[in-house]
Amino acid sequence: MKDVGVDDGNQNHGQYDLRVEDMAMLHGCRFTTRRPVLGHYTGRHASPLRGQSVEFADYREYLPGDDVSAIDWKVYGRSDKLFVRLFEHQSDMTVRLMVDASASMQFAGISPKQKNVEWATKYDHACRLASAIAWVVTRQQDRVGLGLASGGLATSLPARSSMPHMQQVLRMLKDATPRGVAGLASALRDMAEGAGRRGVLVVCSDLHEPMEPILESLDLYLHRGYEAIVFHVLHADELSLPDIGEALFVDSETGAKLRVNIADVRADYETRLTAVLERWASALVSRGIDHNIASTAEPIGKILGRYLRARESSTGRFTPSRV
Amino acid sequence: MTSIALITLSAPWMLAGIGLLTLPVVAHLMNRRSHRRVTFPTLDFLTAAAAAQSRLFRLRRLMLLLLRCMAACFIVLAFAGPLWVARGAPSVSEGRASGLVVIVDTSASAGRVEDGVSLMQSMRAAVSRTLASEAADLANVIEAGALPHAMHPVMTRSIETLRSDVATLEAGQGRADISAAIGLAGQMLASVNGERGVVIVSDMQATNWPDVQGLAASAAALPTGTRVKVVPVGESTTANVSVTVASITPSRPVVGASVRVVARVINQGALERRLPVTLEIDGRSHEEKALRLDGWQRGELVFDFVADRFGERAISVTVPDDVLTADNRGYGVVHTARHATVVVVSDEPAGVRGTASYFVERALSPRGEGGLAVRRVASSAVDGNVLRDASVAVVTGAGAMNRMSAERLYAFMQSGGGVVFFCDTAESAANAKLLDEVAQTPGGILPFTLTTRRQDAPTAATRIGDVDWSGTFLRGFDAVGRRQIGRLKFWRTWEAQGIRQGADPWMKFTDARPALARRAVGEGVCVMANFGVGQDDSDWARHGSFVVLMHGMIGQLERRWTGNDATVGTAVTIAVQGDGGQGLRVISPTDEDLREIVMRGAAGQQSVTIPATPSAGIYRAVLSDGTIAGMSAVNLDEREGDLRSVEPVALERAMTDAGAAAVEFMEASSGMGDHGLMLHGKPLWGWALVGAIGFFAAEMLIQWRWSR
Repeated sequence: MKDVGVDDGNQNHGQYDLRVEDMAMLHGCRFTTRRPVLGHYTGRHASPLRGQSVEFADYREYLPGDDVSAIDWKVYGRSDKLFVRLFEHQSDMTVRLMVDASASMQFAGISPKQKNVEWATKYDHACRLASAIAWVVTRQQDRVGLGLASGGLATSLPARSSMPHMQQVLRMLKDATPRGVAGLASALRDMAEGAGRRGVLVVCSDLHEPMEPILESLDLYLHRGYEAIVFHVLHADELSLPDIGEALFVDSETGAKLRVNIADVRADYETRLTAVLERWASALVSRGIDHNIASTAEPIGKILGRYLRARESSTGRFTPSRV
Repeated sequence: MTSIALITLSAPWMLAGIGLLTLPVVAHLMNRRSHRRVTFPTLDFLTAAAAAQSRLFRLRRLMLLLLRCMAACFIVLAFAGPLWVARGAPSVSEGRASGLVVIVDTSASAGRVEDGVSLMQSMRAAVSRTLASEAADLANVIEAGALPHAMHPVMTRSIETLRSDVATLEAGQGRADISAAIGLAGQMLASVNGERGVVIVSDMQATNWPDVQGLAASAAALPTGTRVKVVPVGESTTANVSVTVASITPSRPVVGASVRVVARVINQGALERRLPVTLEIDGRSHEEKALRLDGWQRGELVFDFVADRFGERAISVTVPDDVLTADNRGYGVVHTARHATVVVVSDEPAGVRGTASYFVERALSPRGEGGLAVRRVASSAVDGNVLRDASVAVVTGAGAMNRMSAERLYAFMQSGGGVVFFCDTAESAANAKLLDEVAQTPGGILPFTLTTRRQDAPTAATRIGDVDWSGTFLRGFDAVGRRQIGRLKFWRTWEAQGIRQGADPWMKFTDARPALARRAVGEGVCVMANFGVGQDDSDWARHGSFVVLMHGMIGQLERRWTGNDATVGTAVTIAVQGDGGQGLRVISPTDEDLREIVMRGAAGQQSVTIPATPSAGIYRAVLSDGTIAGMSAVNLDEREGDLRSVEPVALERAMTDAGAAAVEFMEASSGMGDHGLMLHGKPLWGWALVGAIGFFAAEMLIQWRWSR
């Protein structure tokens, strides 16, 4: 299977480059925002500011200092009062990606390995997901930034909109080695300091950390007018334990050990996992945060394409357009 | 042998297999200490789930281990051969040893080969298997042929040696004397003080098991409580043809005479058979004839040849080989003589004119010449050697006969010889009575019974009244001779009590008393003349018709050889021609020099007897210089050719009904269900296997239930 990088001139750049089939799935998708965003430049996305654009917003009475050209003379002819027309300001969008680089993301499954079947870790899956989002965002000339959570905010890239920057994003994902705990809550807080206001936060993590601190950190972004999206990355063998009999299980982050027979605990395990996933979904959705399960069993293009199309159709204010 | 309470292990060394218990234990430990290590994202859910399992659930592996160990234990126990011993049963620990005798049917029918597989091979395997499975402390094997004998003189503890000896077992050519074999087994088992068993391995040939009463009597002679099991081997088959030499007439032809050999062929199957039958003389094919037989039909083929030279001729008839080759060849012997021999039994002085013996000898051999050789012997000196080469014996002018002479004459008639008995002395009635007595046959053997002697006046002589001219002896009389017989005068005759049943009266006196009558005795004939031919008895000897009568009788009474009197296992006697001598040997059909022989008679009248002939064929008496001095033929018993079998169950039932109450018959079967004689108790290995399977099933059931 041939990997296709974002930059055609540097195909060997990273292992998390988009594949042809993923690009085909994402070809007609746009990454839009449900909330108005504040950007540096005029763009395609709704902004809370009024400005020059084709989208009419409101009328108000003329005040001294207003641009005379903004006066609606037709209204003046009918009402003998001066009103100026207000237009929506459309700005570019800033997307900040937070990828979990903890040791638990190194999990590559426990099923017997099959020939000619790619064997990816959860981190690989998260990175591909982040890469795809970055590619979509960059293609639509919005800005994308990146942060890696490994014991807090291990490293980050500011948000920019260019293909060289895209390459930097990919390089950073490739160079990182997942280890230790994620410290996702801390990483989110740290990244929030330079994040400005109104943007989109995308978190790719297995969320194997206490829920409350993470939710508090996400609230920081919500309070700043950010829209948050969580991709809950889980391995297929994590969702459904394969029948491997008895084995010694070692916690990837704490090193704790437990000898257990899969057949004995499978049902109970899945019940408990499902309950936790539902709690995450409930907590996130109640805050207006999209929660998506990203199983390694599904291709990235399929996961992201399905999500983006659903998102565009529910936005309402913005008509999806082809990139 | 090891005893555990009431359970005895017949193969305790198999308990070493208990080491197999290490397999489930090791498997358990290996599973428990699985080296598989999985680095998992978080153990939170697994820990919580594992903690929720019940204690019983965690003990599951121990339960599975227990079930597997129990299954292994029961498998080992099954191989150790557990036996349940009833209370009070003797055991080795009490100084008791079990004994087993295996009787193997080595009759000729056991030598059959079907589809390339020898039945004897199957029987050897069955015997070996029985010896191994019964595991008796003492054992022996009896070969049940015509003369049953044990492979070891006494019961042996060396079962393995016995099993190796079994490999030498071969089918014989006689009939199996099962009764004698059971009797021998009873003698063997008498020395056993523990459990006793007899296993009869047989092809269950129906014709070999006819005497249920005899078998029951033999079985009743077994020690009380002896268990008997019949193990049938081979399938009942009905595709066999047997052939024997039924008769050779005359058995002692003179050189140049025509000899008639009658071959009897029996189709022992239900299908029609067409087959060639070949006559061989001295090992060379002489003539071949085709024969068609329907199912179960027996037919006779007649072969004629001319005895062209003096001496012994070996005759055999053959049919193509089939499943049983032993009965595809029948044997006979023709003794070609220079003269036919007539023995005159008389106590009258020889050569005295006017005596009866004088007239008889002159009629048979005028001037000592002619085709007949006449030998004279006193009535008290008749023995087998005197009659061995005789065709006819003529008793005339005989005094009081002794019992031995009477027995020899009777045996002579039984084997095909002819006796002409002239009632011409005062002792004739006593002699006739003695002949009837030695025969021990109801109604006697003579054609009529003499009462008192009658003396008629010369002028009132008795005459022949009624003559059956169709009688075989009288066919040679022409009209002149017949008229002459009507004019004969008889002065001394006997009152008689009439013709006995089975006798043919050829001549009667005018007062209806029998004058000349014939009666078959065994394979031979007895002709009784109620008159004498001495000059004081009648005037018949003075007429030429007497010569005609004597030669007619001699011609028709010539001895016939029948093959039925010499079968494998019985005694056979070879008449030695010439002087014999110290270097006389007997060579069997298989060219073995037989040691167990009995020599009888003086030089010139010597004979040799083989008490028990081991096989069918021609037995030769050979002089020290290699000359063949005599031959005798022994045939396979015709009944061996009938390969139909009987059901062992029916036989056992019949024997039980016949009174073999002391014997406990075990059900005959084969394969896994065969429990043997249970000499050491009731086998439990089957239950042990069932238990093992049960434990395995429980383990699988629990695994299946828990995996859901």
